[in-house]
Amino acid sequence: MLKFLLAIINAGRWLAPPSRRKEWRRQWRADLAHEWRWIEQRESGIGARAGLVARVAGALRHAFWLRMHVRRIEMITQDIRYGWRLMVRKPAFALVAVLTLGLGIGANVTMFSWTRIILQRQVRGVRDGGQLVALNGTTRSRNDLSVSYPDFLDLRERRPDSVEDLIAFTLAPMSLRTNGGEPQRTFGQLVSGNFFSALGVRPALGRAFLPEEDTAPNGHPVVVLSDSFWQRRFAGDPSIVGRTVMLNGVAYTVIGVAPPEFRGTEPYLNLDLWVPMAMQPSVTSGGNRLGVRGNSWLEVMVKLKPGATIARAQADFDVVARNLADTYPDDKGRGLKLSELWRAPSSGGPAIIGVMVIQQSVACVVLLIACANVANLLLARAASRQRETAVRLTLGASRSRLVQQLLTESTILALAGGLCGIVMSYWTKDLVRLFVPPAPLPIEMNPRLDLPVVVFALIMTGASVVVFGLVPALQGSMSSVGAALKESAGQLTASPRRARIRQTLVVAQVALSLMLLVSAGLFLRTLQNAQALDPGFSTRTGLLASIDLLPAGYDAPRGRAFFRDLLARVRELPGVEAASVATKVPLGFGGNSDMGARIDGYTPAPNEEISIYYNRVGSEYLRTMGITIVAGRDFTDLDTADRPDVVIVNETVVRRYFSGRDAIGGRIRLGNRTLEVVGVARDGKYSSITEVPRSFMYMPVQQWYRADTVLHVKASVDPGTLVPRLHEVLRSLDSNVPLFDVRTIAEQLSIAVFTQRMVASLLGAFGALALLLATVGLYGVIAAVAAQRTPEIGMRMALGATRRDIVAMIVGQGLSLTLTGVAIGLIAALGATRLFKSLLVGVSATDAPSFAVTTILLVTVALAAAYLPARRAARIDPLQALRNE
Amino acid sequence: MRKPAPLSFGQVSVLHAIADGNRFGFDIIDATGLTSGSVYPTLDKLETVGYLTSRWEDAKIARRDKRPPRRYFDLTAEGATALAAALTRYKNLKPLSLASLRALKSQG
Repeated sequence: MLKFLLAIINAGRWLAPPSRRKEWRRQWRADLAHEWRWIEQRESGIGARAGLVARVAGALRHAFWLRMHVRRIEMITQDIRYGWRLMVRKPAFALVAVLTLGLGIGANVTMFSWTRIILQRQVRGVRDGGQLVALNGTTRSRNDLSVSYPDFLDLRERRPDSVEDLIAFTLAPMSLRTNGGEPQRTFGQLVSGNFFSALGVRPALGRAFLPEEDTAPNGHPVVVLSDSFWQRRFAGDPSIVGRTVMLNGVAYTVIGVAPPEFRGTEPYLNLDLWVPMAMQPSVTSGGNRLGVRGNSWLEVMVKLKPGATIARAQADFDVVARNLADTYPDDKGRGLKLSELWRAPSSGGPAIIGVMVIQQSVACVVLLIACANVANLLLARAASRQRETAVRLTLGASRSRLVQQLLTESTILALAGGLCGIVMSYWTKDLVRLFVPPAPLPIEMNPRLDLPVVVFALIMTGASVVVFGLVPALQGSMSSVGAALKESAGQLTASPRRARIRQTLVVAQVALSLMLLVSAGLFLRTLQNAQALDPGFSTRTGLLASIDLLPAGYDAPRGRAFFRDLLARVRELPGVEAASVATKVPLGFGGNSDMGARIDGYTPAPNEEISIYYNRVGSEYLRTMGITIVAGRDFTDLDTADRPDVVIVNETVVRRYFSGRDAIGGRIRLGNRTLEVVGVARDGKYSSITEVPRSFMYMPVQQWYRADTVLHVKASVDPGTLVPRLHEVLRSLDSNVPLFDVRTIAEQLSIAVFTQRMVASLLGAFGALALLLATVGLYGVIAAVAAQRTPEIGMRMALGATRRDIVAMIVGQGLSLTLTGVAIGLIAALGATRLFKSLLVGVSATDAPSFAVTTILLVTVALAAAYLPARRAARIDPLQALRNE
Repeated sequence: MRKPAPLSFGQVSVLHAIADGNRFGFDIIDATGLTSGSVYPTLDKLETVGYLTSRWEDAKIARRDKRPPRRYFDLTAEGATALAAALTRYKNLKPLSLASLRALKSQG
């Protein structure tokens, strides 16, 4: 009977999967034999023997279980091994596919790592940073206003239940000096006394501010240093706490050092130090603003209570805003708005988010094109593997099994591509610094390839497998068995369906590339236009250099005298044509200030606020900047503080408020001062090159004193050679006043077209990449088509077709694909370019020349891609081709 | 290796039987009262997740007993931990009297 059971096991081993067959048989034979002996020794009855039969039945179930269980794992490892072998056997194919995918995925990963800097605009190194939101003041027309200090104090006192605390801060450049060393420009923040405690930042060394240190104006000169500044400036000296440093000429006691992970609350900036708000009068110029409710200059962040939503807090603050408006006339018509930090006006607002969206979608389009290319390659390979597929189908492989295998191969390619993409992204992520505007600020942009970015890369990889792998896999498993086996190896041809899919892919590629190229073209035109726009001033050779008299302890009368002497000395320098000072540089990124005004002889409409942007400038400013004087005169050295207030307005002011009257001699009232218009300047661009004409006026800095100004110099020589002379002049006037942020006017102008340049170069790069990929795709398809038509070509040539006819025929096929793609691409581009209309300058979203030029470029490149295989096809020896038939 | 979610009763019985000193397939069947058709797959499964190791009996001993070497199973440290955890789980089930169960049954 044992023999019978063992025979069943012997036969049953075929049920077990091959890899486990031997083991299974051995185990069951041993166990059965052992049990049998045991039964025999005990001389058990027939029941025990019958039980063995049941157990053998169990053995068969075991074998079957093994088969089902092991099969899955084996199949996958088998597929992976097979796919890997294929890749190694055709390294060129694999390399092209992996590089193509790598470019597409890498572009996305790099863009994502950049976008994340914006989206992740959180304050690092604080407790519960996710509960921080920005708070801005609003009026009917604006929602990006700052908050005044008295309003902040009231808001904090009346903060609703949904809010844990509020902090206020502002960026404050300061001049730092230790023990008679050279003054050094630092970037700090003036912060409310609860800044560190509300954020939950505990200093790594020393302590944070005490509540009483933020009360009396200029009462407690204490400072907390940032870790990086402490390392840089004081070499991490642990005895720094308690030491004295001079900030803007005032002695401060260092009370603490912030932990390394905390860098302040300004977006993208790495700050040096923090001082209490009460020190404002000695830190920023313009006098004590702490008590002025009408003077908004603070950024405010709100820390929500756990569980509180922005919407609820917003509703609460709406009530608070109404209360404030009822209590204080200065707050009339003002509202409050909460927003996530990344959307807050201080983060760069909608413009930068728009750029980010464009970047990311463009990268996605590039990846789509890359996927189409790889799908094409896979389809081409599927054609050459038709026989293999057919054989496997004949031998009983299921189609789902084949699809699974082809998808496994695609996944291997995609993973390699994803890895390649991450490596490429690692190399390119820091290019973001090229796009950082050259502002005089400690800007820090460190895209990181951290976990979320890697996860994003994996998602993109997975998505691309679906996009490029699915169709070829389904298609590849569908070959017709009979036909494939019957045909000889040399004649394996692509099925018409497969050819059609490949052609569709090429058409899609061409369409997508054209869309990108057209967009790139529009932005190149935009950049050109922006550069060619007349900023309103003609001076191109010159220097800008900042001066701050406040740290050196100047009061207004001494400051006025200093500016007068400075300009007199600078104008004497050889190579200087003209010189002046101004508080705002032309086309600076910083917003311009406006002032509410009343104009004699002009009755504003009901609800109309007259607000005029302004700049405080020195004598001969218009001459220095080359701004045309339309009427009247420039400021002179005679427009001093003890003379009547004067003002120069631009043409827009004249048009709006002096229509039909002579503006010269007109009067503008600002607060309790009355200014006489002495000149009219031509309209210009003041803060951005693309702005619409706005009302603007110039006031003499001698009459509206400010301690921090920028020296403007018009030079007739290379501006660089003037720099040492300027330093000399300044030293001879006062060695305590440094010259900083020296830049040429040309550099300043390049900042002005910064956004346009950034988008144009990104789109240009991606457009070129897309064109390259589409060209490769088109070349591949035409080459395959030409190869497939070899016998036909041979026949045609035998019948008298010339080489030229053949070339024309093949190129014609490429051209028809291209033109189909172009037609679709043009329609898609018309839709897409509309989306970024607002970013274009001087060119419409449907600009015909841009569309035409890019189309011609694409068609030319496509013709070249089709010509190469066509020429090869035309070189066919007809005899040879026909013999192979 | 991926660890499965809580062990099934069959898996716990098999681990328990092995911990109890039963190391061969048929001994485990006898100890657990499960069928061979479920014990052997369970053994393989527990081995793939790393709760068991198996090896072939020393050929010398088998030859002395004039039978082929058998495959026998040992608990791994992880298997022991998993078994202990499962047993605690069972122990935590609140004891119910049979009478109360009968009462529930008649209600239902």
